[in-house]
Amino acid sequence: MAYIEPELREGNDEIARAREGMLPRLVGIADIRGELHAHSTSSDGADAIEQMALAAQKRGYEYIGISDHSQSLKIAKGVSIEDLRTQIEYIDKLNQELAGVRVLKSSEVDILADGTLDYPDDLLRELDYTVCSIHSRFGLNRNQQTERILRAMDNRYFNILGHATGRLLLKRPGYEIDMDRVIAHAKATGCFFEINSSPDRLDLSAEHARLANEAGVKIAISTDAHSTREFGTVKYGVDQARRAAFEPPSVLNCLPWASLQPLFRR
Amino acid sequence: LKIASIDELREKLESGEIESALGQRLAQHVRQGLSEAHAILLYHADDLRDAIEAFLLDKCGVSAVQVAGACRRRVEVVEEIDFVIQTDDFPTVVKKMERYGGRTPLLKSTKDLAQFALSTGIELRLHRAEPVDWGLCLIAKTGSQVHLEKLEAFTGKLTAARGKGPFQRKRLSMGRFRWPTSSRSCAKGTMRSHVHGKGCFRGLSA
Repeated sequence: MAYIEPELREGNDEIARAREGMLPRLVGIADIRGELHAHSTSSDGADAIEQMALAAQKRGYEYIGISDHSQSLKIAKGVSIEDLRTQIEYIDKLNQELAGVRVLKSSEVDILADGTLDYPDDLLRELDYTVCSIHSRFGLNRNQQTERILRAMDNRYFNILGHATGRLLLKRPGYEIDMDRVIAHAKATGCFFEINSSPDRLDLSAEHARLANEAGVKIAISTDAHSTREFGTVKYGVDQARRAAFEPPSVLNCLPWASLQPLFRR
Repeated sequence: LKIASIDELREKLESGEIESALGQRLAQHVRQGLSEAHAILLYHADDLRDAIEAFLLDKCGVSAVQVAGACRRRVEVVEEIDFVIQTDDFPTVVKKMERYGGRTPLLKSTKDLAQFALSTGIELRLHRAEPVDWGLCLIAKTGSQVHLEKLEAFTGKLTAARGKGPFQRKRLSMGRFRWPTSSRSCAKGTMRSHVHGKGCFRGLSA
């Protein structure tokens, strides 16, 4: 029987797979090539885009996506349409100056109550990719919340579902969604999930991440960093991905940008 | 809100009245306060783990220590923290551990297991292992209950392999099973980096 990594020892199928020599080569921290969900002072982050980029570079990352909050999230200084256009131009210029790390143009776009996204399509198309999240109306019932996400995924500029259930560990249960339907829709539409590495989120849960993995839906392991000091929490996201048996090719930010870019074009 | 008991508080919380009257954040605090589960985030458990490992090595004189249980499986919320340790004098280790952080009450102690109540509300468990059973003990104290049941369905009772040393390597057929040549060789610090398989316990495969 092959060695079973501790993170897999939950009593799923690991014994059978070990006996068959079919255990996965789990993702590790060294496989991470970049960050796909980080904030800057443009919204509620503590550090400027350039500082975030340089900190990412220092960690050996090849790219960092700046995903500031979108216009409706006033409490987090959501970025207006005009300011996002300015930010896009700024990042283009910054990339000409930076060497060794690429700043990706992104946004953490609110999924509004009716399932529409918080920016118009003609602006979303200017981004390299989007992280789309729910930050409001947690009280919708399971079916309404599920339909809201499915409708959002139908938008061709939806790429990654951020912190899918909104849970805060030991504080707040997530809003209820039909995860099987959401995973199936993500698979059908070419969308992805995030494992949010924030230690009090770790959202997707290991169980949901395992379901996504089994369905062949890739994930991003993201820190949702609001400052340069928070990149280190990626290790908790990696732990969570390992518990869900993820291998590096199934993790978006284990891919080089050249391989990642086509996956974000739907 | 005319709340006169814990039960009424819980009822008002579940009905959403607390959130309506006092806001979502306060409702979260009330929910947390009412939680009967003593649990902490893995993130906080990691801090504890480092401190306890250092205490066991530096103050209690154990010759080897390795975190096990849910913490080693990297479960996001943990209700207890388990360590497998090697020592020639378990009673003294138990006595010294009671002084961790000023005072850490002992809940229960046998010749191989000591359970303590940490101030964070979770339980600390020390499992003593003979050098010959080190890997076996790590396997037994790391896997979830379901995992161990499935493993034993294949290997037979793990306890039956105790004290049999190299014999169990073949019996369990854990391909990369290796014992450290000296538990002392696993110095403090290096054995903490096991999580992603880079520590000196990597080859132990237990």
